[in-house]
This record gives sequence, C-alpha cells and structure tokens, in this order.
Amino acid sequence: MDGQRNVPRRHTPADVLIIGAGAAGGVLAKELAEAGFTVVVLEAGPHWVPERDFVSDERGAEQLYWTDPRVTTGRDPIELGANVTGKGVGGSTVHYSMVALRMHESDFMVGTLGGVAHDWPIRYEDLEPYYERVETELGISGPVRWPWSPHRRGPYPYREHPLNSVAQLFARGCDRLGIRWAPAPIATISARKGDRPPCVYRGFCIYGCSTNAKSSTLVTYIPRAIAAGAEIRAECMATRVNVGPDGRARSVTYLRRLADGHVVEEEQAAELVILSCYSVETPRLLLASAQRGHPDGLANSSGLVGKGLMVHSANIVHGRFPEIVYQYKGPPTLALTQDFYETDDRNDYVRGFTIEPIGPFPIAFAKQVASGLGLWGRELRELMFDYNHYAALGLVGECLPDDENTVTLDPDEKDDHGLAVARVTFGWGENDRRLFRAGADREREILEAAGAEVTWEAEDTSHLMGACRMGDDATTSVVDQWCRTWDVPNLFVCDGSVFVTSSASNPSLTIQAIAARTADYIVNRARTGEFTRRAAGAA
Amino acid sequence: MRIRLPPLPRVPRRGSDRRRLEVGSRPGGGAPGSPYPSFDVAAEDKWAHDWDEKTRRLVLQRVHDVPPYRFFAPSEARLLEAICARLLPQDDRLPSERVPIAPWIDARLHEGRGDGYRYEDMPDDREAYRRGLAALDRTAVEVRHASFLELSDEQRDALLGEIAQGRVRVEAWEGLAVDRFVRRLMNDVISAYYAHPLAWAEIGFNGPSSPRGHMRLDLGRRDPWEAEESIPRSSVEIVRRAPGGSGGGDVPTH
Ligand SMILES: Cc1cc2nc3c(=O)[nH]c(=O)nc-3n(C[C@H](O)[C@H](O)[C@H](O)COP(=O)(O)OP(=O)(O)OC[C@H]3O[C@@H](n4cnc5c(N)ncnc54)[C@H](O)[C@@H]3O)c2cc1C
Ligand code: SF4
Repeated sequence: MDGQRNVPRRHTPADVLIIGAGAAGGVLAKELAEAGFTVVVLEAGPHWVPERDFVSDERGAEQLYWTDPRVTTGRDPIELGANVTGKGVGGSTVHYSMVALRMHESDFMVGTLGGVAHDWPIRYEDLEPYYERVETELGISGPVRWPWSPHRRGPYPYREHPLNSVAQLFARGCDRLGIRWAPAPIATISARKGDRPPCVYRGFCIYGCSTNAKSSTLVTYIPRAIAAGAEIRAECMATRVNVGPDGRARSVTYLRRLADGHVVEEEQAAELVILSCYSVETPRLLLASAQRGHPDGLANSSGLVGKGLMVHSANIVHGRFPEIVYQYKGPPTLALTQDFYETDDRNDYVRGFTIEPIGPFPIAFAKQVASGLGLWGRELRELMFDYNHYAALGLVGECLPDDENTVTLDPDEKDDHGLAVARVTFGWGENDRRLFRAGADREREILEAAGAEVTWEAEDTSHLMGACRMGDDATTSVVDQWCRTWDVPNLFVCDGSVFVTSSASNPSLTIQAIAARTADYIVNRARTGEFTRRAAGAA
Repeated sequence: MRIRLPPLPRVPRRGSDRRRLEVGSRPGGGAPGSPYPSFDVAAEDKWAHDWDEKTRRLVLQRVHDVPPYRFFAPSEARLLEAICARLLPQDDRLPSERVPIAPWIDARLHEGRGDGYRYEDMPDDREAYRRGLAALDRTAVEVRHASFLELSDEQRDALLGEIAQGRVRVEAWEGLAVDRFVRRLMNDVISAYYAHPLAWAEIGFNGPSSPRGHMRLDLGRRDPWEAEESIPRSSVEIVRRAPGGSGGGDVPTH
C-alpha cells in the first residue's frame, strides 16, 4: 500500500463514472457510451477473457466469486460468496444461471394488492419496452408462447433450447398434476450470434462459460460499450464517493491493484456518478462515504441505505429416479412453472414462487447430501455413486421486504485495505417460511408424480435484492423511479439494490431493464442541458 | 494396472500438459463399489475432446502437485487426516491412490482463501480449525478416554456421529459453534474429494466436457463418451435411513 502515501493519481474528468461492471453496469456503459457520453467504468475484479480464463472445473471457478470478507448474521444468516455475487467484468452474470424472466404486473403493486409492502414507483408497462430491448441485445432463447403473462408479445429472439433430462422429468410431473410449465427463457444463445457460437450443453454455466455462448454482460454489453468508447478500468475498487461544497458528487476515490500486486490510490472525477455494485457493496460504499454534510453516509437522509435487503428462498428437493438422468447435462434450468406465482386466498401466505429444475454438479450435490440428509462417511460416498439417478427442483420464493434485514458497516472487522467490511443481517419472516414450506411441498409432489422413488430436501437461498429501494417519496426511499438518489442530484444507484419487493422471478433481466430505462432518462436529461456530453459524434 | 494417457498432439509441448494423468490402479479409475467400474473419465477420446488445455493443466496440477503442510503443525495434520479418512473413507483404495484431502484444507488456510463470508458467531477459518481440532480431540478424551488417534475406526465413527449431531459437551468446544464447524469441515472435505478425477470416475460424472459438450439430452440417453452404468446401486435405502431422509428428521416424504 506504499502508493497510498503519495498524492493519488487524478484522471481526466469523465461525463459518466459507473462503479461496477455487472448486470446493470454493463447495460449503462453501453447505452451511455453509444449516446455520446465519455464513460469510465471502475470494476473491482479482473477483465476476463472466457476462452483464456474460464476453466471447466467446479473448484477452479472460485476465481469468479466475490470472496473478500463479509460478516453474515441475523436469525437466518445468508450464505454469501459464490452463492450471491461475482467479482470481475460481467459481475454476477459471469456465473449466474441465465434464467431471464420478466416480473409480473402484480410484482410492482404488492402494497396495493396485499398491503404487505411498498408499491414500486413504476409499473410493468414502464419497463416493458426495456425488457424487450435487453432480451434482444442478450439474444434470449425462449418459448413462443408464455402462459403466465398476457403482455409478452410474440416469441423470444432465439429459439428455445431442447429440454434436458431433468426438465423432461419436471415436465412429466407437471403434466400428470395438471400444472402448466414452459421452456425457460435463458440468456444463452441457441444459434450463432455475431462471433459467439451456440450453447453446446456442457452444463458448466455457473462456473463460467468457456464456449462463450452464455450472454453475460462480459461478452454482450461490455464489448459494445468499449466499441463506443467507454473505458473499462478493471482491478479498481471504489472506496469513497466525494461530494463537493455544492452538494454534488465530484469524484470517486479508488484503489487500483497493479500487475505486481501493489495497490495505489487514484481518483476519478465525473459529472455524473452511478453506483452499480449490487445489494451489498452499493450500500457499503454509500455508508463508507460518510463525510461533511452526510454524517450517516451518502444518500441516506431517509436512513434507508442498507435496509430492506431481500433474498429468494431457494429450497431444493432432490428425487431419485429409476431411469438414469445424468443431471449435469445442459444449462441447469431449461423449464419452469409460474402457476404458484400470485397471491391465492387458499394459501396461508401471500405472494408465491417459481419452480425451476436445476442440475447441481458433484461438489454442490455432495454438499446438499451432507446438509440435507445429514450424511457423511461411507454412506455419503455410496449415495454419491447414485448421483446420475437424481433430478432436482429449486425454488425462487418471494421474500417480503423487512427493514430489519440490513447491510451495515461492521464496527470491528476490516478488509485487506483497512476498510470496514459489510455486515449482512437477515431473518425470514413468517410469511416467507410458510411460502417456502409450501414451495418445497410442491417440488416434492412434482418429482413424485414424475416417478421419484424417494425425495429429500436441502435448504438454500439465492439472489440478493434491495437495500437501497426506489420510491416516490424521499423519506421512504433512497432513489426515485429513475434511480437518482434523492439527496445528491448527480448520484445514481442502479443495480439490484433498488428493488422494492423481490418478486418470485430471477432478478437480472429486471435489473438490466431498469438500467436501460435509467440510461434513457440520463440521455433525455442531457438534452435539456442538465448533464454534459463531451464525446464527439453524439448519437 | 495403471492406465497411462498419452498427451494429445494438439497440446503445446510445455509445462504440465505433457505429463500423464494417472487415475489410480484400476481401469477407469472407478472404485470397486462403483456402478461404473470401467468408466475412464480421461480415456483417450475424452482427453482429446472433453479436456480443454487450461482445464487439463489445472487438474493435472491438482493430481500431481499436492501441496505440503504449511498451516497445520504435524500433530494437527495427523489428526485432520485421520478425521478426513472417516468423513470420506477410501479404504477400498491403496494408500498411495487415495485422494488427498487434508493438504488442500491446509493450503486454503495457509493462503488465506475463504468463501467470502464469516458467520458472526464463528472466528475466522484459521482459528476455527485450530480450535475445532483441539476441541474434537478433547471430546475424544472426555468421552472415550483416549485421543482420537488412539481410537479404532468404529470408535472414531461413533464419536464423529455424536459430534455431527451436536451431542457434545459445549464446554469442551469453548464457545465454538459445533454445527457450523462440522459443516465447514464437511464442505472442505467434499470440495477436495469431488474435485478429483478419481471421484468423478466413480460417480459417472463426465468431467470437464469442454469443448465437446453433449448431444443427447433426453432422459435415459447417453452420449457414447459418457459413463455407462453396469452395476446399478440404488441409494433409496440410504436416503430412507438418513437422519434427514424419509425415515426421520423434519423432512418427511410420501
Ligand atoms: C450463482 C448465481 C446464479 C444466478 N442465477 C440467476 C439467474 O438464473 N437469473 C437471474 O436473473 N439472476 C441470477 N442471479 C442473480 C444475478 O446474477 C444478479 O442479480 C445480478 O447480476 C445483479 O446485478 P448487479 O448489476 O446489481 O450486480 P452484479 O452483476 O453483481 O455486478 C456488480 C459488480 O460491481 C463490482 N463491484 C462491487 N463493489 C465495487 C466497488 N466498490 N468498486 C468497483 N467495483 C465494485 C463487482 O465486482 C461486480 O462486478 C444469479 C446469481 C448467482 C450468484
Ligand atoms: S451449457 Fe451452454 S451456456 Fe452453459 S456453459 Fe455450456 S455452452 Fe455455456
């Protein structure tokens, strides 16, 4: 950290400075660079080259995860790390499982419909054109007909993938029970797109796709952003957003890791700063940026930065089948059902869940055997001999927001740079528990209807959402409907942390649609002269 | 009989790529009880099409360059090895052909690589292991009047079973959350064992599958290069008997 003693290197000011090159950051960088802004993106992790860097190995994929220390606590502490966040250009989309869903109309109105949470300040219709745009850009492969949303217009850009064995068993179980199912829309291409080849069904998706078929932002939006002039500065970890005397964000201080391992402090000024670090690191950065005039952290006059963190319940039920399944083949989720998505008065809980087949690899599967069945020793090894006869279903269970579930700065623990680590506090609510119990029961019924001889369950969670929610009142939200912070006019928060409720859909497509909408807003405001656009040839 | 896999001509002639992947003394690397006794996860055709160069290099290194102990003291390492040998027994293999587990735990702790989170009620992994191993041995002395290394395999299993179910005197663990420590340990054991080609072979996992991928995705269909089950071994009874299976626990079936 020698470099920190020197005066930090200062870069030429940019129009737009984006922190985090993940699902949202990638979309923002491309849209704003193409619109003629000078764009700099700071990304804490490396800039991967899939063909060069991605090994096809469950353990070797560790390099992709956010493994800087964090503290997890609460009644039901969340497993962080690999399960929730990536680090590197592409963010969590490098190792996500690609399910690309639109939220439902009702998801934006959980307050009005059920009185159990706030409404979103936007409606499905506000996002629809952006969903469309992102689906096209990513080349989502999906079905022609979508049973659950009347608003889905026409087929997906790419043909749906064939069902693998696990999805076929799922479909068989659903058919026998009269449950509707559909092929899953997923972000991996089923035919060539530009220089990217189609999926070859290796099944390594959550360990990084070396085939390059997977539409992470690393290989979709980011190259387009670079082509339009954006600078992606990898290995640069933002540590503080600096606010000027005028109350506007002036610059961001960050630590750059050099090739020799040394870390130097640098500073980047910009007209407009967007934080896209996701639900843990965005609140952490805002809280760590407490300064004169902002004693409780930036953008935190509501006191809501870090509050309302949500996670999907992802309980898994495994079934043993007489047929050989080979569950490792193909993308893990190739079909799903949303028949249990909406509030139903017959349930003892509100809202609902999606059920998705999954295909855990040996290490993940064995861990579930250990945690779910309590097996170890000879019996664990013997059960593993039967790995190829199992099929599993996973849940995406809606989690109601609770301001007691938080991201704060840990008072004691510091990371390698001496920065306070994030402390994540989480506990399920009663509704959440009832909901995921019901979800696991459904999963079991489907597997049994498909012919499972025996089933067992492992608890799990997935997908972070919330902790800087959007709203239309500065006292009850952190950002407005355009992701602009209420307190600092040129500071935006645009990533999964702006979610008001969790929905029961995998979140990334919605995060990306919100980012595309925010980009449009910024372009429009620039036309009025509010934000500068310096680059030549503005679109 | 050792199978020796010729390196591929396509592979650049440098570093570990030219070394051979020896996967145990049996054809295919499978274990005697495995449903796939003759499956070879790195058979010539598979090595050529299912193992891209960077993955070959990584796994060859994993198989051949087992790290020396740098974190644990020799006595701790011996104890951990004995525990791992019960948590994932390999007595069906010659000692020289067993998948190393404890050295990888040592390497992770030595290098300070973690999962990216720490439970608030747990110390960091290094301290957790030091204290956990000591507490486990203390428990052995308290309950069986002998240190873990002096116990028979049956006694070791019985003790580990009690610890896994949390049936311990908390004082001996000095505030360390036993359940979290056991889970941590189990996860590390599993991550080391099921990252080894020998383990892939015995469960019929296809291995890296890059760049070839798969063509036959339908239920019950097998690509010609995938493991073919010859001695089915149903786990239904194991699940029924398991603490968390249909037989008991809080997860009922049927
Ligand atoms: C295993 C797994 C499977 C998933 N499967 C699905 C799925 O099937 N479908 C789906 O919709 N979603 C899925 N998700 C969730 C999805 O990946 C995330 O919701 C989404 O990527 C979040 O987008 P984001 O832009 O908010 O953050 P991210 O994509 O996580 O990007 C944040 C980026 O910011 C960087 N960063 C953080 N802090 C700093 C800092 N201080 N300075 C600089 N850079 C920083 C990080 O390194 C990271 O690259 C999955 C996630 C995981 C982990
Ligand atoms: S299954 Fe398809 S998307 Fe997944 S890793 Fe393989 S090629 Fe990539």
